[in-house]
Amino acid sequence: MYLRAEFSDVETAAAAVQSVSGAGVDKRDIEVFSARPVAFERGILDRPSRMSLLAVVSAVVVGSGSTALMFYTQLDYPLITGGMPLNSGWATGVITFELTMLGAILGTVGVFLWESGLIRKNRSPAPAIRDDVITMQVRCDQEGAERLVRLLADSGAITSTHVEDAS
Amino acid sequence: MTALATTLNGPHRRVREDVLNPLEGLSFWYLASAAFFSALVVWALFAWGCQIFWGIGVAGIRRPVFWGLYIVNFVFWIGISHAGTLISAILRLTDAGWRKPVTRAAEAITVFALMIGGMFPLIHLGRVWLFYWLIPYPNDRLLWPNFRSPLVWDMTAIFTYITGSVLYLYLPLIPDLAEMASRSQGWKSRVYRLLAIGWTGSDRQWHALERAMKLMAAMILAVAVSVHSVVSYDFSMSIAPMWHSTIFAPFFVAGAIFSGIAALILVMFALRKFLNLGRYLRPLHFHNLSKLLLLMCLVWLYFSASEHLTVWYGNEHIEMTVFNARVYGEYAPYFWLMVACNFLIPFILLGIRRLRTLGTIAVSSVAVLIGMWLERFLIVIPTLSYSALPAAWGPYQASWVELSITAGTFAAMALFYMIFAKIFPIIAIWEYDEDVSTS
Repeated sequence: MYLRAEFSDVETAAAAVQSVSGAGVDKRDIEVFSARPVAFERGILDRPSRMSLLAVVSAVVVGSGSTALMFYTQLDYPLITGGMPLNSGWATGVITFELTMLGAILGTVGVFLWESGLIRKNRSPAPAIRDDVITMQVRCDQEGAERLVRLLADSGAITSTHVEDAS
Repeated sequence: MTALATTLNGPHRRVREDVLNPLEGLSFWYLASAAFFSALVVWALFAWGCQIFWGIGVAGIRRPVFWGLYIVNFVFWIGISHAGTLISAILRLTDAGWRKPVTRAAEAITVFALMIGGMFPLIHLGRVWLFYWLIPYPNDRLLWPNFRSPLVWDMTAIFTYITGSVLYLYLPLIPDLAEMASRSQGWKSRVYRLLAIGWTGSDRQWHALERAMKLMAAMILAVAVSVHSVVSYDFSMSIAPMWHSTIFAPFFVAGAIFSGIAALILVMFALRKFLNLGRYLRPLHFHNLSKLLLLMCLVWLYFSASEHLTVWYGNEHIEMTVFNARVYGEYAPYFWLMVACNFLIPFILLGIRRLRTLGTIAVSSVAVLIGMWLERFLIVIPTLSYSALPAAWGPYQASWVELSITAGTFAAMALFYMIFAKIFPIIAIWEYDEDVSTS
C-alpha cells in the first residue's frame, strides 16, 4: 500500500522526507510529485544515475560499430577516390564522430526513459499533479502505516491518504 | 493554508492562461495567413513537380554552375537551424536565467529549418526517387556509398543533428504535454496523453529530465558545430578558387550562429505581437540577444576580412578572378549589399546605445538574414561561374522553378511555426514556473 501526503512548500516536504527516511523507510520507496522540479538540498532525496556512463557506452558502441561497418565495407567493395587509401581515417573520421554523437544522444534518451520510469511496466500509482502542493508518496506495509501517518502530520502535511497498490 | 495556496497559485495560473490561451480557437487572421503561406507552399510543390516531370533542366542549374539556389538555400537554412538548439544549449549550459521564455521558440526553429534545409539536397538530386542511394545499406547490387565523400558526411551529420534536435525539443515538452492532457478533453486529451508517455511529475522524472537536458545540451553543442563545419567541407574540400580555405569551417559556424540569432529575434517579435506574449518575451530578452547579434556581427567581419585579405594578398590569378568578380565585378552589388546588411546596419543600429530599440533590433535582424543569404549566394555562384579554366566560365540565371521553391521554403517555415505554436505551448510552462516559484 501507499501513503500520500500533501505539503504546501519545499521546506516542509524536505523535512518530511528526512523524518520518514530517518524512520527506516528506504528512499527508493519515497516519491515526491510536483508540477515543477523541486530542488531539495543534496543528500535529502538523491537519485543516483548512470546516465552519463551509459551515454558514453552507447557512444562507444555506435561509434565503433559504424567505424567497423565502414572499414569492412571499404575492404569488400574497394572504391578508390581522390587517391585516398581504402581506409582513410581522416575522411571517415567525420562519420565516426557524427555517429558517436548519435549513439550518445540515443543512449541518453534511452536512459532517461528508463530512469524516469516512463517505459517501465510496473509503476507505482501516481497522484494528479496540482500547482499549489507537493505530494509525497511512501510505499509501506499495513503495520507501519499508522506510525508514518503520524510522522507525516508532525512534519507539516496538509492531508494524508491511503492508496491501495493496484498490482 | 488556502490563502497560501491561492498566493502560490496566482502567478502560476497567469502563466498558464497567457501561454495556453493562444492555443484556443482560430482567428480570421490566423486562417488568412495560413492560407497565404499554404498557397505559396503548394506553388513551390508544383514547381518541384515540374522539375521532377521535365527534368532538372527547368532549373537554372547548368554548366558550369551546377550548384545554384538549391545549395545556397541548403546552406542558409542549415545556418538558420543553429538559432535554436545551439543558442538554447549555450544558455542552458551557462544557466542563463533569461533563457527560459526563449528556448522552446528557438528549438522549434532548429527542427523546422533542418527539415527545410535537409530537403534541398534531395531537390537538387533531380532524380529524387534515388535518394536512398546515399544511405549505407547492404544490397545485392553491390551498391555502397563512398564514405569519403563530403556528401555522405552531410547526410550523417544532418541525420544526427535532426534526431538530436527533435529529441532536444521533445524532452522538455513532455511535462507540458502532460499538463495539457489534463486540461483538454476528447481526442486532444488523448493525443497529448499519448505524447506525454505517462509523465506523472515524480521527482525521479524531474531528476532524469534535468540530467538528460544537461547532457543533451553538451552533445548538441558539439553536433551543431560539427554540422555546419561539415556543410563548409562541401566547399573547402574541393580545390576551387575561394573555397579551398582552412577557415571555412569556423567561418560557416560563426555565420550560422549570426543568422540563427537574427532568425530567433524575428520569431520572438512575431510571437510577442501575435500571441500577446509581451509579458514573457520582454525587452530584456531582445536586448540580450541583440548584444549577441552585435558580437557575432564583429566575428563575421573578422572572418570575412581575413578570408578576403588572404586571397587578395596571395594574388593568385585564379583566385583573384573570383575575388574581382565578387568585390568589383558583376557580383559587386550583392557583395556590398551583403557588407551593409551584415556589418554596417547592425553595427550602427545595435552598437550605438541610443539607437538600440526594439524596432532597430528587428530591422538589424532582417538585414542580417538578407545579408547572410547573400553571403551564401556569393560563396556558391561566383566560384562556379569563374572556375579554374577560363574556357569553362559561364553565367548563372535562376529560373522560376528555383525562385518558386525558394519562396516556398520561407512560407513553409512560417506555416510550420504557426501550426506548432497552435498545438504546443511556445514557452516552457514548467521552466517558467520554476522562475516564478524562485522569485
